[in-house]
Amino acid sequence: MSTTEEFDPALDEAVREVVTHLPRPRAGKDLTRTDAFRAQWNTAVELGWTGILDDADFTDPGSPESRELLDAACGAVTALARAGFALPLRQTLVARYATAEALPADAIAVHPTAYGVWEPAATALVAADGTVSMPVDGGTADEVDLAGRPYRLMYEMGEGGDEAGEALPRRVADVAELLLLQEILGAAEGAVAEARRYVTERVQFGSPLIKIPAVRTIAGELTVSLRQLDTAVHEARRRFRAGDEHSLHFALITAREVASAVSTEVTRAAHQLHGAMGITEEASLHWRTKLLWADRDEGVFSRDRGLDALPADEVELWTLTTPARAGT
Amino acid sequence: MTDTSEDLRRRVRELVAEWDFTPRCDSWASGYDTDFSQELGRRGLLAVTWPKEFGGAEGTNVDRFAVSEELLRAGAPVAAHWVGERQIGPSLLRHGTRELQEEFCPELARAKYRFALGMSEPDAGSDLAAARTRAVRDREGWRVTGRKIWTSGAHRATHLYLLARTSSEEDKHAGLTEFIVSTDSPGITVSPILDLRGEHHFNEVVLEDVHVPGHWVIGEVGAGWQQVVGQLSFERGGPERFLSTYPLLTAVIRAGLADHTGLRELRALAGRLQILRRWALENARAMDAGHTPVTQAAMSKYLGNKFEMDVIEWARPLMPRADRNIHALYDQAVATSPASGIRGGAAQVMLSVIAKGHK
Repeated sequence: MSTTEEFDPALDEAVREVVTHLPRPRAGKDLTRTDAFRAQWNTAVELGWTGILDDADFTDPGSPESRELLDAACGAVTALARAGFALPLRQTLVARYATAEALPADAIAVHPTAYGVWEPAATALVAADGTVSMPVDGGTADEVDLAGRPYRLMYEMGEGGDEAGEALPRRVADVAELLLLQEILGAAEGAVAEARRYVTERVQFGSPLIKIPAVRTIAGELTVSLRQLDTAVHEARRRFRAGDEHSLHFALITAREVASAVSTEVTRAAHQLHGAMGITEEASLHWRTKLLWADRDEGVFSRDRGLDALPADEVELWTLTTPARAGT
Repeated sequence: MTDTSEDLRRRVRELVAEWDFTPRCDSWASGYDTDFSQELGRRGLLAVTWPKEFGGAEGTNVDRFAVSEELLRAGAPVAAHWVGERQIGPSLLRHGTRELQEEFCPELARAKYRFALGMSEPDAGSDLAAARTRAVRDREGWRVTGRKIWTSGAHRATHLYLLARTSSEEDKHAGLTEFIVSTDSPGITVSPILDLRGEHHFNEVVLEDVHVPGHWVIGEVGAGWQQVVGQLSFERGGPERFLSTYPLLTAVIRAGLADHTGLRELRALAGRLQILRRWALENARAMDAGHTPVTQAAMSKYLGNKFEMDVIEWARPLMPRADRNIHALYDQAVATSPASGIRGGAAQVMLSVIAKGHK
């Protein structure tokens, strides 16, 4: 039932294997200013993860080729996030897909769908029309988000918000949103796994924490939250492959809503279960929860986001909430 | 969905359009219209998964899911056949003797026989394995003595499904057996338990030395617990666990009552509805594949109930502009909300099942 069932298992396993050997940076730093970041990025480039969507053409998103490429991209992004590594992989995949121009293999590429995240570290900027430029130091003050990712403040970028998003090619925006959802899913899976491991191994009052009914209740709630997110993301991917824009738009909007709620629930509950150890640099939980917080808030400029996708009557509500057919 | 499922949906919609009824919330538990249930049977819309020789159509659980969803979507009065068709028939087909199947399934498929569930007992709540109702063998079959509670529809049912203890074992899950009991048997007293609106759905059923024919045992004597766990997937994993308040949700949408805040909240509700419909479909598919998705069904039940409660909270501030029909739906939803969190297993029990299932 896990989303990973749809990924290339070999790729998923490769990511898991690789990340166990990657060094972790110190907490609270701009990731790009650490030696660990460069080693991580070089590994991602060498293994070909950054170029997965270079030849993608999603004009027929249901074709086996499209499906394979999308699944691979989703798999790599999810597996990295599950391990708690924040790399500009997702943003680079989208930027490379959005342009017809060749980019250096090790480029950190950023597209407007990234909402400024990683832009200060970018070596290639891909515009909404697909043209590429090299970044110029504009002297703007760079910020670092909770996940340690440098970003450019939207108000300093001249234009922003959903209005900018509307000008983007629909397919590129869809891929970007899907990969963001996959990253949130991966980080949530990693956080829940860490919390579950902790309450199973940690003995207090003479037995593992999971034996305490209240802890078991929270563990049950975490499972439900995670499964909701998994289902919502999975549904969006199915609809991407099915190719119906209205249905996909609804699925993406509602999945993002679910992802926001689940991110909040998972971070709160996972830290609650993990106790004081979870909020130390030494613990590995915070790499997932910080990524969850950062992703949750990325590009959300209005509480009214996506209201236009809501159904106007019962028949439309029923149609839009009907699960996509098997095989898509 | 398959083409068969789509055809079934169309046929349900046709009947619903023809039938004179007022849509209501919680229609599967309190919308009782025997004529409607029997018309469903006549049109081949009940027991679609069962063998043809027992009145079915040899369809899939996905087909049955399609029928159930469309009925609940309309708020149609389906309580008369719901329990018998949902879980008693399937339980008989899985565990019952051929004699039992021949005797009961065709009548259930036509909604001629109507069942109530005698599972819960006083002092036992959601802990079904704590059943104290006892069944003792005699020359002609069994004699049953005990009390069942929260037995919805027992006053209208032709038969009871009964979980009773047939031996005392150290493990409380052992020694339980499933029976069928005729509601007109001597020794049965059905007493109403009025709900908080004064409506009569629940009952207490007292059984005093009630005779049960020897062949009215479902499955193996002493294996009731293992068998009943299989039933729980049918009971907890279906669309009735999240569509009970759907008539209210859609009445508010149709009337255009949602203000700006309401639309924002609708975005979240619609997302969860999409998830719950997927889960219920997956539960049906799992059952078609021969699995018993106990944990998955518990998740459906838990989240579905939360969704139903949130629909009420969503509608609440919009009620001042609602007409009396919508107010009626709102009142039904609010009044049945405490029961919907309990029947089929309380939320905390569901969470425990889920946590155990994902060790």
